[in-house]
Amino acid sequence: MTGMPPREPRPGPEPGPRPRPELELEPEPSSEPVVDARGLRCPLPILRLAQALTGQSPGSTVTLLATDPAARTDVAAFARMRRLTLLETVERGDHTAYRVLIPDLIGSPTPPAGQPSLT
Amino acid sequence: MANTSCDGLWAGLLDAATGALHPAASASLRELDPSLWLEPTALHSGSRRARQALDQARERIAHGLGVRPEEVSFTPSAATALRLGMAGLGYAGRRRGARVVTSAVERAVILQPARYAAARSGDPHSHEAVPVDHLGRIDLEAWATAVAAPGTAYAVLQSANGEVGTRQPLEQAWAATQAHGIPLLVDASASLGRDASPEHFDVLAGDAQSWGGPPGVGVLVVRTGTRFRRDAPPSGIEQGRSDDPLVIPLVVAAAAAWDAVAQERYNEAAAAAHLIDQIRAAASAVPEVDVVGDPTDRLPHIVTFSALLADGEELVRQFDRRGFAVGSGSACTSSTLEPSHVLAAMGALTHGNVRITLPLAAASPDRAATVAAFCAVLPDVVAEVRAQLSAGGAS
Repeated sequence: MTGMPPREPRPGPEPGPRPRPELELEPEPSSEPVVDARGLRCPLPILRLAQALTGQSPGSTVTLLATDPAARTDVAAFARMRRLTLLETVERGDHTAYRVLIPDLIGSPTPPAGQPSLT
Repeated sequence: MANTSCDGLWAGLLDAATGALHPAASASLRELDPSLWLEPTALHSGSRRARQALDQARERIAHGLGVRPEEVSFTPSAATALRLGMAGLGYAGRRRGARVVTSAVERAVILQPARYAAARSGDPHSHEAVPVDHLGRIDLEAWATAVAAPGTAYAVLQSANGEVGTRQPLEQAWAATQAHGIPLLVDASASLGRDASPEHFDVLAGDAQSWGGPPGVGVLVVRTGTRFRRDAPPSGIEQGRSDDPLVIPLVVAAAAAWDAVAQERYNEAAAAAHLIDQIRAAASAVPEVDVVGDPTDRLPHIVTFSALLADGEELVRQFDRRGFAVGSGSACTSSTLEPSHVLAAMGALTHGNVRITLPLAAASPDRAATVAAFCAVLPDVVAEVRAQLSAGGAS
């Protein structure tokens, strides 16, 4: 996490996740939401990603930027549990970008309670 | 937690990987013959009593493990036994090469030295960590390929995983190492006394704590005929396999616990497995909770689950506040802030993780009631911690 701007581990309420077109390392189309969770620790990056996905329609994608080593495992596990598709994981020097797709024909992002979601 | 059992153990203890002494071990220490503190190699009669007590303890544990007493060495811990085992097999097999094969879910005491040696040698392939499936079980095909690679000195595999409980296919893994003349070191430190003793190994390491013995007693078994040699001057201690003198009263207490646990094991394991089933059911009834590990082919007393969008540290704290001591493999609960390598290797969710290790019923008579109470509060605790997170961590 060297070189990262200092961040509060538990920041207070602020406006919801939104596109961050000011980020220089951003090859995604500017209409795609990018969640910047750099410097945040588990489970906050996943929480931010989940919040950004809420209200997105099937077929859309969200990109998460994170430095937390636990995100590597947890984004994939989150995608499995919520039946999302992890399109790509890209190392970008000091952080990693995860691009997640909401597949079509998904009723609710929440899988049925009590179902083991392991494949 | 003011509630204590007669042995002073917390009634809410559900994190008993260490520290839950069997009453037979406590009794052995309480009623100790003071001559057992004497140096066992001296010629006077007190020393002889210490020596005899040690010999008896060794025979009882060897019998329980299905090996010969002279194959058993006691060490100060399982970690020491594992290090000595790796060193002895590595040095004896050095002409074959320096390559070491492990699973990806071995304990850090195995993985870290193996990675360190590989990094130092400049050959990253000199350590291969064989991957596991989503249940935590090794890929046997990958294992067979890995142990067949030239230059392999030895392989290490756990009997079962101490974090998620999944048993490893030791018989097939050992057959693969046998086929290539490679010795297999089995880490049984999570399973001895709680599960059937492993039969398929060349070298075995364990810890008396897994069967309710005191800390300070590791076990190293080297099967006769195994090429095993230390890169060290001759030692007169423990068949020349250790440099650390024993604390005989601890070994005697460990043997007393072993005898008691061996007698109770079938019923104890069935009861523990039933309680773990209850926890598994209660956890999987909560939405978006991943119950990790094999549901049936597992150690009877261990379960791990991860709750999506919950903070592992906060879960541990909230359970503690209600009188339940649980563990966690989440990054936020570890000193390194790295998540459990076992959960990561399985592709399991690492945040919101709770790990249960049941004490023996003999050490914790209220165990069943504790588990029932735990299952009753589980959904509320998860909901509360989730609500707290989305309120506090809302963006």
